[in-house]
Amino acid sequence: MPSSVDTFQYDNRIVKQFAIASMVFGVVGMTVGLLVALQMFLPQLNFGSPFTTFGRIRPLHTNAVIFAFVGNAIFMGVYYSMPRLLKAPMWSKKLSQIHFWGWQTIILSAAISLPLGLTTSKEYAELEWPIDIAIAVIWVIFGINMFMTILKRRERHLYVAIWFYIATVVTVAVLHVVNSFEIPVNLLKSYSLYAGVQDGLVQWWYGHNAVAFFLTTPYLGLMYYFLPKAANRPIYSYRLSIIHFWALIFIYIWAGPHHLLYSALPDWAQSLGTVFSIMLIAPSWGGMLNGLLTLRGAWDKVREDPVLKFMVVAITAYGMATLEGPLLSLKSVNAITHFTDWTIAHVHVGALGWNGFLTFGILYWLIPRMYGTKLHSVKLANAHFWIGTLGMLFYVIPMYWAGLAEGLMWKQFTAEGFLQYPNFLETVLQVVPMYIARAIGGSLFLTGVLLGGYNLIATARGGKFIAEEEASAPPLEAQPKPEKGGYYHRWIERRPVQFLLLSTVAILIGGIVEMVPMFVIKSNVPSIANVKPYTPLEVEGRDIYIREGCVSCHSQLVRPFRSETERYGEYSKAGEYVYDHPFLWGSKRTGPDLHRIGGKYPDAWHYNHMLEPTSMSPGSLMPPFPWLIEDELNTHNTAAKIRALRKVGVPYAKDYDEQALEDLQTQAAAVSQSLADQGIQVDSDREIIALIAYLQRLGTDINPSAN
Amino acid sequence: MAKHKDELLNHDYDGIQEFDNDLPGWWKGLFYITIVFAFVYLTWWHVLGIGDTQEVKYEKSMNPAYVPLPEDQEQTLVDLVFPQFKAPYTKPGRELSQAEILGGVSLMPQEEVIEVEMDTDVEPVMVAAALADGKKIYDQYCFTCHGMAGEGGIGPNLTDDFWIHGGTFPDVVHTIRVGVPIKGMIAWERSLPKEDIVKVASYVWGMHGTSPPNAKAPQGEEFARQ
Repeated sequence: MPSSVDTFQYDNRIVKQFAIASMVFGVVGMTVGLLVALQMFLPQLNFGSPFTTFGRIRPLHTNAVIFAFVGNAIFMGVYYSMPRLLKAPMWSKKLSQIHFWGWQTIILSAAISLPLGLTTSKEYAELEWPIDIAIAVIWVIFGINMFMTILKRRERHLYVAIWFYIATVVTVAVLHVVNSFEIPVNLLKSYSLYAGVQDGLVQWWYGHNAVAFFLTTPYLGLMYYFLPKAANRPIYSYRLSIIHFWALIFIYIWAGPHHLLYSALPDWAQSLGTVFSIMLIAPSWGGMLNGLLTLRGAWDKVREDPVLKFMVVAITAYGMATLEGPLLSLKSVNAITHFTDWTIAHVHVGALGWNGFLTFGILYWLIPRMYGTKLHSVKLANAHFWIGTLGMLFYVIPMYWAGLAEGLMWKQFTAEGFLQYPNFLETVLQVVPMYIARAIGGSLFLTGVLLGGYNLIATARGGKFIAEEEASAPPLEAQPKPEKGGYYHRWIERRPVQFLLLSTVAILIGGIVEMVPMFVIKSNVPSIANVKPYTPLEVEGRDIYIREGCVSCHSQLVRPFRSETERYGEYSKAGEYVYDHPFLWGSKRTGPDLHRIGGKYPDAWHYNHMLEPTSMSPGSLMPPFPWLIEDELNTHNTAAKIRALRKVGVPYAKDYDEQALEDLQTQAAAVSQSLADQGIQVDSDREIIALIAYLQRLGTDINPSAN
Repeated sequence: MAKHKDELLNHDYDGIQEFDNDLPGWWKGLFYITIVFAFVYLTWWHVLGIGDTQEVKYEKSMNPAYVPLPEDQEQTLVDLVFPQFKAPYTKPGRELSQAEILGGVSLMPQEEVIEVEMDTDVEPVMVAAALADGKKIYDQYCFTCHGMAGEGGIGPNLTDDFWIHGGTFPDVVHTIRVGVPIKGMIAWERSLPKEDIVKVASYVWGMHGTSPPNAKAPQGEEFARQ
C-alpha cells in the first residue's frame, strides 16, 4: 500500500436515528392504515369527529408510510451504504443532522395539518405550501451533503447503488417543485397553478414518479448494497445494471398518464402512458433479475437467514408489481380495474412487499452490525417473516377479488339493457366481506412489525452501539490512474458531475414531451362556452369538499363507457374542468362518481345525507358530517380566494373580490330558502349551504336545464 | 458476442464484487418485443389513425351504426404533416339517413313507440304478485324521499288526492319514467325496465287513501279518481 493512507470514521449515529424514526413512524402509519381499513366497514369508527374521519385520515396513512416509514428507511440505508461505497464519511455531520431533524419536523407538521383538513388534495402531495417549501429545502440539503460526499470520495468509480441515489435526488426534486406550483390564499391555503386536465397530467406525472423515484429507485440502490452484503455473493451482472438503470430512469418518467386512461386527457397522451408502461416491464425486471440471480449459489443461506428471506420476498413482490403495473396500463384492463380496490391491492404488493420487507431485511442485517452483536432472536425474526407474508396475502387477495367484483358489477347490464346494479351501494355492500378480510391481513402484518420492533430493541440492548466506525483508504490522488479501454460506461462512473447531468437529461425528456404540448396547444383542451367560473359560495363549498377529503372516495370523472353514462350521465369533457384548481378527478370509487351529481337530488336530500348518510342510503358506509351543519362558514378569506383564483387564471372581473361576499350571501339565502321549502330549517351561514351549492353545480354547465 | 459466464470484474466496492454475465436472452427478447409493441401501438392510433379514439369507441357502443364524422376523429401525424393526403383508411364522414337509423340496431325509434303507449294507454296491474314486486322496488328506491308508507318527506305525499305532475295512472308512470330532475326526482327509465316501472307505479297507485301517520301536507292540484 502507498504510504499515504487516510483514516476516517463512518458516522453510525445518523443511521441509527433514521432507523428508529423509520420503525416508529412505520408502526404509526400502519396503525392509521388499520384504522382506515376498519372504517371501510365500520363507519362508527370515524368517531363522529372531523379529525378522525376517513377523508382526512387516509392521506395521513399514505403520507406516513411513504414519507415517514419508507423515507426514513431510504435515508438510513443511504447514510450507511454511501460513505462505505465511496470510502468517505458524509461530507457534513451538521447537514446530516439538519436533514434528520428537518425531515422529522416536516412529518410532524403533516401529522398535525392533515387531520385539520389542511390539504391541497393532490395525492401524495397533500401538504400545504409552507411545508412544500420546507420539503424542498431539506431535500436540497440532503442532495448537497450527498453530492459533496461523492466529490470527496476515495473510490474512483461510482457503484450502481450510487447511480440510483443520484437519480433519486435529482428527480424527486424536479417532481416536487413542478407539482407544487401554487398560489397562496393565506398561510394555510393555496390553489394549484394548474387547472383540470393539465393539473391532472402534472399531478400524475408526479404521483407516478413518486412511486418510481421515491419507492423504487432508492430501494434498488439499497438492494444493490445490502443484498450482496447479506448474501456475500457478487452481483450477477454489471452490464445488466447499466442497461436497466438507464432504461428505467428514462422510461419511467413517461408513464404517468396511465393513471388517467379513459379520462378527459387527450388520447395521444394516454397512449404514451400505455406504451411506455409496457416498455417498463423489462427494465424493471432487470432489477429483479439482478437481485434474484445474485443469490445463485446462496439459496441454502436463504433457507436459514431471515434477512435473505425478507429480501427474496421483497424482490419477488417488486417483480410482481412491476409486471402488474404495465398490464393495468393497457386500456382494456384499466377499464375494469381503475377506480376499484384492485389499485389498492396493487400498491400494497409494492408497499408491504417491496418496501416493507426490504426495509425489515435491511434492519435485521444492520442493527446487529451497528451494535457489534448478533440478532437477539432468529426465531422471532422468522416468525415476523411468516406472519408478515401471511398478512400480505390476506391483504392483497381479498382486495384483488373485491376490485374485480366491483369492476364487473359496475359494467354489468341485464338482458333488457339495464344496469344490473343501478344502485351503486349494492356493489359496495357486496365487497364488505373482502374489506373485513383485508383488515385481518393488515393486523397480521402490523403484528409482525411489532414483533420485529421488539426483536430489534432487544438486539440493541444486548450490544454496544458503535457510534463511529474506523476505516482507512488511500486518497484518490494516491491511487493508480484508471485503466485505459474496458467499458465505455466506466468513463461516466468516475465523473459524478457528468453523471448527474446525463441522468437529469434522461428524466426530463418524458415530462417535457408530454406536458409542453398540453400547455401550449389549445386544441388539447377544447373550450366549452357554457362553462363558467364557480360562484364565491361554490368556491367555498368546493374548499369544504377538498378539506373533508371527499376525493378519497368519490371521483369526478365519468368515463366514456355506456355503463357509466347510463349510471351517471354524459361523460366528462376536458373543457368542463378549466376552472378546477386543483382538479378533483380522484383515483378510487368507494362511493359513486359525483361529476353529474348536480341537480340529481333535491337540496334536502343532500342535507339529510350529509347529516346521516344511512337515512337516504340505507346501509351506506359513508361517515356522517354533522359539523357541516353546526359550523358557520368562514368567509374571511372569500375575497382573498377570489384574488388568488384570478391570479391562476380564473376570469373573474377585476375587483370582483369586493363583490364576492355579497354574492355569496345572496346565493346562500336562496339555498337556505329552498331547504326551508322542503321542510328543513337551517341558517344560511352554515358550511352545509356552501357544500350543497357546490354539489348542485357539479357537472351542470353543459346541461343548463339541470340547474 | 462472446459468452460471459461468471467472470468477476476487478471492481470491489466495500467488499461487493460484480460478475459480468450476459443479459438473459429472454429478457432482451422481452425488451425488444415491448419496444416493437410501442411503435405499432402509436402508429396504429396516432400516425395512421386506424384505431378509434375513445370518443368514437363510445359512440359505437351506443349505436353500432354510428359512422364518425371527420371532426370526431383525432388529428393524426399524417393529417398534420400532409393535410391534403386522403389515405384509403380514412372513413367517409356522413350523416345517417332516416332509413339507416330505422334499419340499424339503434333502439331510438322503438323507444319512442313505447313512450306513446306507456304514457296514454297503460293501466295499473293490481295483481298480488306484481304488487309485491312493486313494493320491493318501492322499498329499495322510493322510500328515502317519499316515506315507507308513502307519507312523503323530501318528496310529496303519495297517499292523498293531490298531485303535482298529474294524477292519472299514465301521469304517475310518466313522472316515474322521466323524473323531475330539477326537484330531484330521478328519471327511473334509465335504471328500471318498463315492467318494473308499471309495477312500482301500480303499488303507488294502491297507496291512495291509506292515510299513514306523519303524512306530509298536500301539494299540487286536487285530482279526483274516477
